[in-house]
Amino acid sequence: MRLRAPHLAPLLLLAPALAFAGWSVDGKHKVGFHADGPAGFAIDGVAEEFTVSETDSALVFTVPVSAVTTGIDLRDDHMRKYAGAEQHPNVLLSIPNDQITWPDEENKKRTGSAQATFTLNGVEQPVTVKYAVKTGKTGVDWVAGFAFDTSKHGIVIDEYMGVSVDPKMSAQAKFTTVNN
Amino acid sequence: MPRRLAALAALLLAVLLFPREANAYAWTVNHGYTTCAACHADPSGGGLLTEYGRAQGEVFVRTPWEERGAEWEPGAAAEFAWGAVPVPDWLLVGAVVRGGPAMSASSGSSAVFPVPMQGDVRAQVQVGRVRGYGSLGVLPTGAAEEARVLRNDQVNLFSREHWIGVDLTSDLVVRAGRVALPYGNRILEHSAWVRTATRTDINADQQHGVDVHYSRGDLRAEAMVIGGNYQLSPAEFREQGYSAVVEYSLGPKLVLGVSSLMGKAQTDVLTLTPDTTRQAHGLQLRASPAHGLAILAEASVLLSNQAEPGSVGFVQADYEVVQGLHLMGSGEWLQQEAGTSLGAWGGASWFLAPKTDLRVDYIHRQVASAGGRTPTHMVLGQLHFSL
Repeated sequence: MRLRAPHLAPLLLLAPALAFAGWSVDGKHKVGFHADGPAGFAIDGVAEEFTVSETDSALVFTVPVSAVTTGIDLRDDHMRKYAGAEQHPNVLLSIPNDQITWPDEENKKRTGSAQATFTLNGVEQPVTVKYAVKTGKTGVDWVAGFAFDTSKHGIVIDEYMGVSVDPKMSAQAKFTTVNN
Repeated sequence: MPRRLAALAALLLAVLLFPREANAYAWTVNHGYTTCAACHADPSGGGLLTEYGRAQGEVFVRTPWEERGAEWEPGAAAEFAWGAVPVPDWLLVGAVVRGGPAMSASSGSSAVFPVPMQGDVRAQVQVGRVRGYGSLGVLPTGAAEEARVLRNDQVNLFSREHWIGVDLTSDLVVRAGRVALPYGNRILEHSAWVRTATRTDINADQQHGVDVHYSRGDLRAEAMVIGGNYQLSPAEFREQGYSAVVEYSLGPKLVLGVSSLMGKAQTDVLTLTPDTTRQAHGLQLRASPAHGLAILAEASVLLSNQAEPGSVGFVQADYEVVQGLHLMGSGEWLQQEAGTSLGAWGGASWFLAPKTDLRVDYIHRQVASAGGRTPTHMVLGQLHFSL
């Protein structure tokens, strides 16, 4: 992950040591999705890879579909087909910079909601991301999540062997960006 | 103890210890399955598999020998009788055979003998929201006594489960009939003390009553009003009461639950004491703290108006070495008036082919008695085949 200066300006004021340094997501990130089915049936996917980049106007969170696993290989294959992984290998969440309110003090947490754009199966849809960020001396702790509806991304999930999955799902992320 | 009596005791112990019921694999929490309804006709698990459950038997339960490319699907091996017998959508059907050799030893005596464990046919018919479920089994006389429907010198015909259910919603099922009691972890090891002391195994402890099962999101709850086991005679042995369980998934691979039951009988069927009211209340856990590892744990207090309070517990670690091959280690205790009994189980099970698995267990117990603890040993092998 690379975060450029404009976005990091508030942080850099708080932690000058971070200036001009590279950033990356530490290895303990938890990023995934949750889907419900009937009678308590649930699918939880975990993303092994996860990157964050910054454009002039937004933070962009990227998850390769191929890096998402649900614990069962066949289910992963089905999920990747539904997500159109061959044509659209990445799932993206773009949060405009002005939608994030940063803490004005180190070690303080700030929570909020951001209007963002979620891209799945190559189809963009607006989503509301609830987030909490906390700045520290060496990094920023993030906890964020949002709900999405796969049916609005052109995905029709068929019943499989009598079991269906609700198209309304949620995504969760907990990670720390650290100064390299 | 005379040698013949010890041998008989060893044989009885062996009969009591045999795992007989199949398809109650609580270790599937390791694969993110915290509830059972997707794979089993019984929403609390065990017994007849759904179409989806059959498929998962191929997908992640057995060892995959074939190359599984991106287009691989379970195929005919996941169908009843490999698809040789077409089954309509409204019908679920299954058949299972389980048996193997056993060796038991206690007080200097030992016995080796073949053990037929299961010979069951199960089916569920669904018409709209209404379901009818039944199982029928045949074993030599002496097996599954509490579930028998016909017994003579030649045959022991039994039905472990039979019920009529209504799916009021996709999350709420009401059933009436002979149903496995909702209590604790539904495990294959029906002879573990947590099952025998609470009388909640899926071998033969089912009772007749009305059961409500609800499962949605992270919550699963089941409660049953027990009317008695109407396959027991005379009527004074039949218990009336309740059994209930509530579980909550704290994560994709962590389930905590509480269980409670109370049963009152004119005469207790096991102790033959009159006017007995027994209770059990406990906690259970299913978790997968690391890839391939499942932990099952359960502990209950045991109360009775005819005995001192006691307790029972069971902890099992199941490690899936490679897909289909499991190593299991378990510990258990049973604290009653006679003292505290301790047990340790070690074993392996291998789901080596479609619809087929092998299992070997060694079970060592120190059984409390008036004279101290008596050690018992058992080695049990079993081959399980289903259609």
